[in-house]
Amino acid sequence: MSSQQQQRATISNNLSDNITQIKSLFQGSPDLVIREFIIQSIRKTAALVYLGGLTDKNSVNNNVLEPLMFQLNMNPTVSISHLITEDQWRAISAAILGGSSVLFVNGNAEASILDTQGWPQRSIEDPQIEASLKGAHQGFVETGSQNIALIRRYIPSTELKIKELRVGQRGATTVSIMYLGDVAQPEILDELVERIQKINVDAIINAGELGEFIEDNPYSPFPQFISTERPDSAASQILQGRYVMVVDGSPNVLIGPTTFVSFFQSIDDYSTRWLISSFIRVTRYFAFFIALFLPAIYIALISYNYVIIPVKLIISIGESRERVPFPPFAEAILMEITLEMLREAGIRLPAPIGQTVGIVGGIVIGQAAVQAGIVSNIMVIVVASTAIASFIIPNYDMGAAVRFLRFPMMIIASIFGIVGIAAGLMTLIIHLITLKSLDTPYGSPLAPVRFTDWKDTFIRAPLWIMKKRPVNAHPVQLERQDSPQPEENP
Amino acid sequence: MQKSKSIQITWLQFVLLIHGTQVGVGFLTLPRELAKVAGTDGWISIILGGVLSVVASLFIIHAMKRQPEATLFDLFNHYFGKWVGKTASVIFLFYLIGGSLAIIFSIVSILRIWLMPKTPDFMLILLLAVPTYMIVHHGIKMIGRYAELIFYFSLWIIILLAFPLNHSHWLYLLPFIKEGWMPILSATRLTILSYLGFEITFILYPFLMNKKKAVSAVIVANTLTMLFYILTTLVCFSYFSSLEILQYTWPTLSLLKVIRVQFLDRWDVIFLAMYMIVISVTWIVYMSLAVFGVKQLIPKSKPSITTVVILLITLALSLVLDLSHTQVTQMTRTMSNIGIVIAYVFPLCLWGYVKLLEGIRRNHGGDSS
Repeated sequence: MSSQQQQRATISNNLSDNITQIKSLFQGSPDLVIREFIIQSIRKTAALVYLGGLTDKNSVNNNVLEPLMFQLNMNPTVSISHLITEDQWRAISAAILGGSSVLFVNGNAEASILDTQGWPQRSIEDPQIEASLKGAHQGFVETGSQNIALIRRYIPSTELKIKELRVGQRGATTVSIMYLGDVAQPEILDELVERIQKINVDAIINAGELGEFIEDNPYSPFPQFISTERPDSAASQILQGRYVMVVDGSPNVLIGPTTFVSFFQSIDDYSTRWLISSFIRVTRYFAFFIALFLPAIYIALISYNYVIIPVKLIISIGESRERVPFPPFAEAILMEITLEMLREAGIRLPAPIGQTVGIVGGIVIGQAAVQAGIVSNIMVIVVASTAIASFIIPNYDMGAAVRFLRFPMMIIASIFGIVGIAAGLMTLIIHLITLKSLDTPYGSPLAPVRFTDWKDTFIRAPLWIMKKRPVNAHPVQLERQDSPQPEENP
Repeated sequence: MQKSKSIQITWLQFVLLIHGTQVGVGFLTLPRELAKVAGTDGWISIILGGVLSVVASLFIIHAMKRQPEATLFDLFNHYFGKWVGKTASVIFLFYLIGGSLAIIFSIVSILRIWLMPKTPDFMLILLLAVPTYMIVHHGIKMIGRYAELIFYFSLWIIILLAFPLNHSHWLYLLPFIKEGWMPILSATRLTILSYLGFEITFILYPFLMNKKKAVSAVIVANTLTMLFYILTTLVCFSYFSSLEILQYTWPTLSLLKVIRVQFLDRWDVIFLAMYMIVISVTWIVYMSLAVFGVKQLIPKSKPSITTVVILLITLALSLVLDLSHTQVTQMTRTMSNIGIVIAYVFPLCLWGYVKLLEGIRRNHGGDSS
């Protein structure tokens, strides 16, 4: 089959030859439709070829077949918006696989590719994992072109450029890199394109896969691209001078280059009053440390450095731990793993059963385990606060990283106590400093310290103060706006 | 995304690298050592020491100025010829490695005494080796960022120092200069040990972005360190009487013991654990400069392998020697004495040598024209 394909790279002007060729190309594809008919006006036999499931039947019937078969004027036209003529078999088979239909006319050595795509797709729904209070209620869907349109709706500018790449030997998934031509740093684009072009796989099914192939440090637990299902977040990141990668077939887009702190920003921050959203941001950083270190601190304080706790408090902790047979480390690991299992079990269950799991788990952890003397009350408080704190982080990937890193911290605290926690913190700081996202420092604006970017880091300064884009993405055009501060009327 | 591919550090990173390297283990013992020699007038010695270290830094910059792009190792070759230069470079490298080892051993020994008496040295060193390896092989740019971040991280120490002020007696400080200038001057010899670390200017200077600001940078760095020391010393002197302070090996830590809040006792424990992170800048800077130096001497060497080798040596030494605290103090003292030669005496000699060479060349040039 392949030898035949190589023999003839272009189509012939004989219709039956072409049909034989296409049948051999698409051997074993029962969904291939070959509709042979006669074009009435020019009295020529023709064939329309398409894949049944990927084309819009209405469009094929009404806009292609009907005018060609029944119109008698000299120049029958198909009423399809996008039409290309092509004579290469490669391009033709790619077009058929992409959902286009191809029209072969006898005596003509060129075929017309008609844009009749129409496959089953989901309608636009509320984002599922990134729910928001005041943000838009549209989430990305599985069709790349639609996702691009969703972003374009926010930035109707000719400067919004799209670089299209194909990834994968078999899948040839379309990856569209969207950016602002006069803002985004071109060096980063070159780097990004180079990395994407190096990928050599069958197909990219999900945006996360793409991310794993092009990230800077695959051994890091931290996400190096923001993965979002919200068009409004994607658009606001583009406006900051970053690149958004839309992967066809994936309801998530990747955003890069990113920084550690950008995972603590949520789109709601910008639609809430700045004082309140600053307060919430500080809470998130606090939650980050709670989720990461609280179980470790519990272990260190109970098993090593109990001198830190005042006597009164240690007596009450001691009373609560009186019946517990395990050392603090075993107790903490037991509870944390139970919690992780409950969380994981809850995710993939249908909502009604998920609730049951939550209730059963909650009661088992909260009441029965304490009454049975397996764990202490204090431990339950620690685990519950850790769990809640880890869910405060707005980005799922970052939350997962924190939940994972908790365990090494607990192990190191059980060996070295508070010194271990300090060493763990040091390791974490060092890792975040040395990590890079598309060759830009991940720790920015904390390391290297860039005070100009602090306006949107720990606090969310009023929008009229944020006159410049974040430096981290090295935008060519730094100025973002120049709106005056609203004046107070006497 | 740097425009030029060469490593460059900003003014602030330069300042904080020097400051971070200076503030080390000495900070914990300095008040006692000063009180022993100069009584409560010790803080004046800190100022004198600060002035001396600024002067020495200025000599370093003046000596380096002629060849702004050359590192110290290039300079050695340039001024002293290949073999003497190589020897000098190796000595300097050994000083850097020795300095970083001395600091790791000191902090480990303090941690053992205060927090974990039963943990063997090598376990703690193994614990510290992991983060050290992670940053050291990344080179000078990354340690610049680290020093910068850790400086902001360390600012809470100052807040912690404010707590004992409730119980302090400022009258302890009076009268000033109670025993004449001699004790103060002899204590200056002690304080200049605490300023050691500015000698990294030798290696960092070529990487500074704006060389014209180097003078202001070393002045700011040394002044920062000076203010930090004076603050601690004054708080200690006003809290402990001049006799009482001699009883505590680490007065700064003992000072923090008094802080008590409802839910946390023993702030010294928390402080010491966190201060370990602050001190880490010192040994990380020394070690990564050593790794950089090895790369200069042996261009084929890989920074990551050099780092691993240095860390393995550290581990092996801790296993073999099993140092007691007194031995560690002795080791630190020896390193400091070498440090004085390298940081204070050597810049003067180098500067003099460079001037002399220039003078000879000028005369020579005058003759030939």
